[in-house]
Amino acid sequence: MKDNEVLERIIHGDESALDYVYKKYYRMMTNLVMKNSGTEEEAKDIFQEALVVFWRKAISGNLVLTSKISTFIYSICLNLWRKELERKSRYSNEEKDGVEYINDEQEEKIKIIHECINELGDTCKKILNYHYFDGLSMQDIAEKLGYANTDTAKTKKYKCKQKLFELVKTKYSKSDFLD
Amino acid sequence: MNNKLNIEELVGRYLEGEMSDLERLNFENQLVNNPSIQEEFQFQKDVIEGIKDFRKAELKARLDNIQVPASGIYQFIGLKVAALVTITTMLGFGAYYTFFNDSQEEQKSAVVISQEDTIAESVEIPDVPTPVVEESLKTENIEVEKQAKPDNRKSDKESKKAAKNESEKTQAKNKDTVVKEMPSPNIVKPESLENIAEENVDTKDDSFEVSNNSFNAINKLAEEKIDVETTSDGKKDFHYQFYNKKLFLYGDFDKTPYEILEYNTNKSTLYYLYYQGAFYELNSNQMKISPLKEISDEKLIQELELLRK
Repeated sequence: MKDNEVLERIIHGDESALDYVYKKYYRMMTNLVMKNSGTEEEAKDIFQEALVVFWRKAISGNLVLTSKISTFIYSICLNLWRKELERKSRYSNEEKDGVEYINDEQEEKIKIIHECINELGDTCKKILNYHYFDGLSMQDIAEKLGYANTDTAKTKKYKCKQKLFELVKTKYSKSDFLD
Repeated sequence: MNNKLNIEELVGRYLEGEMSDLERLNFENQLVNNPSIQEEFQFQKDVIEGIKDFRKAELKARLDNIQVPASGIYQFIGLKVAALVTITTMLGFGAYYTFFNDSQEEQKSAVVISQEDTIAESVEIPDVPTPVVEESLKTENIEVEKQAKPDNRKSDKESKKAAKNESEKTQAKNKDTVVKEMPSPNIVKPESLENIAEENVDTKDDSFEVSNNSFNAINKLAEEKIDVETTSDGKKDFHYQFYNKKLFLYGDFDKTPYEILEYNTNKSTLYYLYYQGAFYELNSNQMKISPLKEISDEKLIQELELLRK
């Protein structure tokens, strides 16, 4: 598969194109991290993160390839791993107790949000993903979901978001996150 | 403006980027001073982050389930590397063995020579050291002279041993040089075990015995001998080559006797051919068929003559 085709397929939301890129560059990208004092697990995670960045960039239509996809992903991996190394060295210098406490609470909140998203219908999930994750315009979302116009998409998105807020707030109050 | 719905609306519009510049400035001022707005702001931010994170987790879970062929290739490469290492090691061992074997042979003859010296020493020449023989003709000369001294004073046997290859040494108890008659003379290595055992008894030298044992082990693995094969097909007249530890002589060697002289140094074994009153150099590294060159160095000829006796 050529780079242009990969890009084209990702723009149309074809996740199998991402699978292809993942397989093709797995060893190259993980080696980059492993050769720079990373474990294979960390390497895999960085590569996956990089592919997520690549996906979001590509699907939002904001990616104009001036180099090969591999070069682009390689530079993302490099940046992500640098940040991770910095974070690790910072973390080792901090008072760990407080940080862990905050992380635990944050993780619990994220868990609750994920549960609530799972309770949404498929259309809501898609709209929220398209909008917040993929960064699609209302125009694109309307086209993808077959809505008559962008206003319909906007309204739909608004309702889905409000529903999610309600769900999360209910669960938060049960977990004492809100007063 | 302060009721809950308004705050929700406000924060939502801010986060969606739907505010004008003026509205945004106002909102940011309120955000600093109003804890309720701060709380709602943090909440909505978390949820939006949660949405992004949810999708990210979905994609990563998808990728996690992909069998990565690269990992398999990696193992395959690993195997290939392992195989390569094994082969290299084997080659290395082969080379090492060859070298080790050679050096053992050299060492062996060196030890033999030094033993001869020890024997000689008790009689007359205490200062003859273990021969350190360079390949250059000059040092060879010296060596040959040194060994010629005990040769004159002592029995044939000892000088002969000192000057010769270990294999010849044992065989050549009755001769100074190995003189092989036609048609296909071979310098056959005798049973060195017997001979060495004899010497052990003579010297009562434990260390010597130990090294002999190791020599025996080597000898069992690779018989040390120099085969000579003569070919007279008329194409290559008076040429020679060493190939596979065998000396090939090309020419009409079947009609006149020739002699192969072996001269051991602690570095290598030098070979010379004596044929019809002249000496010829035999370079044991010469794997190509090369013409035999007559030695013209008078001194070397003299020494080789001494050796022949």
